[in-house]
Amino acid sequence: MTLLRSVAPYLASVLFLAGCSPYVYKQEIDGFALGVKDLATAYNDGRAYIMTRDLEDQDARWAQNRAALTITACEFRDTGNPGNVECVLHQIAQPVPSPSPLGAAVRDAGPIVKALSDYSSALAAVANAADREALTAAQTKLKAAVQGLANEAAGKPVATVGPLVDLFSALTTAILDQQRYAILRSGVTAAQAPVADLGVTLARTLGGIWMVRASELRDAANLEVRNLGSGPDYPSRLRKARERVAALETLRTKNPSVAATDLVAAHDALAKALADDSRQVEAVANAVGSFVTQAKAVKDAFAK
Amino acid sequence: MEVWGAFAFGTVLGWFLYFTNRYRKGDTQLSDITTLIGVIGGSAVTALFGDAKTTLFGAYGLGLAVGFFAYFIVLVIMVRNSGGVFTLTWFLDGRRKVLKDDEIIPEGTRPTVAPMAMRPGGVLVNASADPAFTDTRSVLDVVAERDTAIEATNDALREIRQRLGNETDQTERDKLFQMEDQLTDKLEELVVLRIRAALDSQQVQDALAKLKAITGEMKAGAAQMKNTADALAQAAKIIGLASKVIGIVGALA
Repeated sequence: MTLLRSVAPYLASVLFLAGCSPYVYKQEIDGFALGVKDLATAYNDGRAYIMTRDLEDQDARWAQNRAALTITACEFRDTGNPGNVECVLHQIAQPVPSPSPLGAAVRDAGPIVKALSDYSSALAAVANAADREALTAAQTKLKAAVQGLANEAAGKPVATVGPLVDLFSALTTAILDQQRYAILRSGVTAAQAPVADLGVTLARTLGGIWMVRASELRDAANLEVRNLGSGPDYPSRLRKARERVAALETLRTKNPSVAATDLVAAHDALAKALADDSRQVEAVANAVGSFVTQAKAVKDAFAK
Repeated sequence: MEVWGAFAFGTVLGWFLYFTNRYRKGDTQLSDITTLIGVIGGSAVTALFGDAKTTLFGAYGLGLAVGFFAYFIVLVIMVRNSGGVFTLTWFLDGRRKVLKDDEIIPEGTRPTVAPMAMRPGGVLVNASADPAFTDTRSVLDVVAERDTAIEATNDALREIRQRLGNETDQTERDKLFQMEDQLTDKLEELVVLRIRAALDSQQVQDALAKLKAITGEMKAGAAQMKNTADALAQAAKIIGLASKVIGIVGALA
C-alpha cells in the first residue's frame, strides 16, 4: 500500500496528461476517411460512366462504317509482369482510339483522388495506430506476466507489483497519445492548403461529370417525352418518361461539388481543433457529419 | 585593463547579437526583448564583473552597442560597394536583383532577415524561374474564369428550357431542342477546359507533391506507434516465458 501511495500522484498526473490528448477525434477522423472513400467511389463510378459512354460512341462510329477491327497485342506472361498493353479493339492499321477530351481529363484527375484517399487513410492509421483496446490488452498481459515473474523469482507469491506496471502502462499510453497528437496536429495543419486546392479540383471534376451526366439523362428523358405519341403504348412510354425524370431529379439534388467543399470544411475544422487543443469536438463532429452525409449521397447518386 | 576587457567582451557579444538576429528563423516577438535582456544583462554576465560591477558594466554596455552597430555599418559599406547588385532597399524589405545566368546561391546558404521584413527568410533561387514565386493564385482563382463561362452557359440553357416549357409550335420546339443540344455540347467543352485548367496548374502539382510527402510522414509515424504497442505485447510474451523457465528450474532444483 505504501508503494501504491507513493506512485499514486505520478499515476494521476500521467493519466491527466493522457486525458489531454485528442484521442476523442478518432471517430471524426474515421468519419472523414469514410467520406473521402465515398467520394473516391463516386469518382470511380463517374469515370466508368464516361468511359462507357466513350466506348458506345466509338462503337456507333465503327458500326456505321462497318470498320474492320483487330485486337491489340496484349500479352499473358506468368512471370508476374503482364505488360502495359491492354486488351482492346482497334481499327486495322490504326492506333487505339484515344478517350474523349472529357474522358482523358477525368482519367488525369485520378492521382488527386488517390492522394486524398491515401492521406485520409494515413490520418485514420495514426488515429487508430496502437488502438486503445489492443494496447490495453497488451498492458494487461504485461502486468500479469511481470507479477508471475516476480512470484517465480521469489519462489512464493509476493506483494503486488501492479502499481509499478500500471504506472509504466499509463506512461506508455500517455506517450503514444501525445505522439499521436503531435503527428496529427503537424500533419493536418501542413495539409490544409494542399487539401483545399485538391478539394477544389476534385469538386470541379465531379461537378463536371455530374453536369454532363445530367445533360445526357435529360436528353434521354426529352426523347421519351417527344415520342409519347398518341398510340396504345402511350401509358408505357409515359411510365418510362416518368422514371427518367425521377432519376434526373435525384441526380439534381446530389451535387458532388457541395460534398467536395464539405470535405475541405471538415478538414479545416479538424485542423483548427487540433491547433488550439480546446476540444472543439462538436464543431468537428458537425463538419465531418455533414461531409459524410453529402459524400454518401453523392456515392449513391453516382452508383450505376 | 579590466575596463577594456569588459568593453571588448561587449563588442564581441554585440557583433554576435546582430549576427544572430540577422539569421534568426522565427518571427519577431515581444518576448525576444526579455530573452535578450536576460542574456546580455542578466546575472550570468554581471556575476563576471565582481565588485567593480558598475564601471565594468558601463564599459560592457558601450562595447555591446559598438559591436552591434559596427556590424550594421559594415553591412552598409558592403551594400554600397556591391556595384549596384544590392541597394539600400535591401535593408527595408530584403529586395535584391534576380541572379544572372552564370550566378547561383548555393543550396543551404542561410537566409537573412531584412530589418523591416514581415517574415524571415527569402527566396534563394532565381526568383523569375520559380513559378511558385510568381504565381500565388489559388486553384479557385485558376478556375474562376471557366466557372463564369459555365454559369453563363447554364443560364442560357435554363432560358431555352423555359421557352420549351411554353412553346406549342412543333417547328419552334425542334429548333429549341437543337439549340439545347448545341449548348450542352458547349457545356461539356467548358467542363473539360475547367478540369484541365485546374489539373495543369502549378498549384495542383505542388499540392499533390506536398500531400504525398505529408502522407508518407504520417504513415511512418503510425508504423512507429504500432511498433511500440507490438513491443509491449512481445515483452509480455517474453516475460511470461521467462517466468515459466524460472518455475521449471526452481522445481528441478
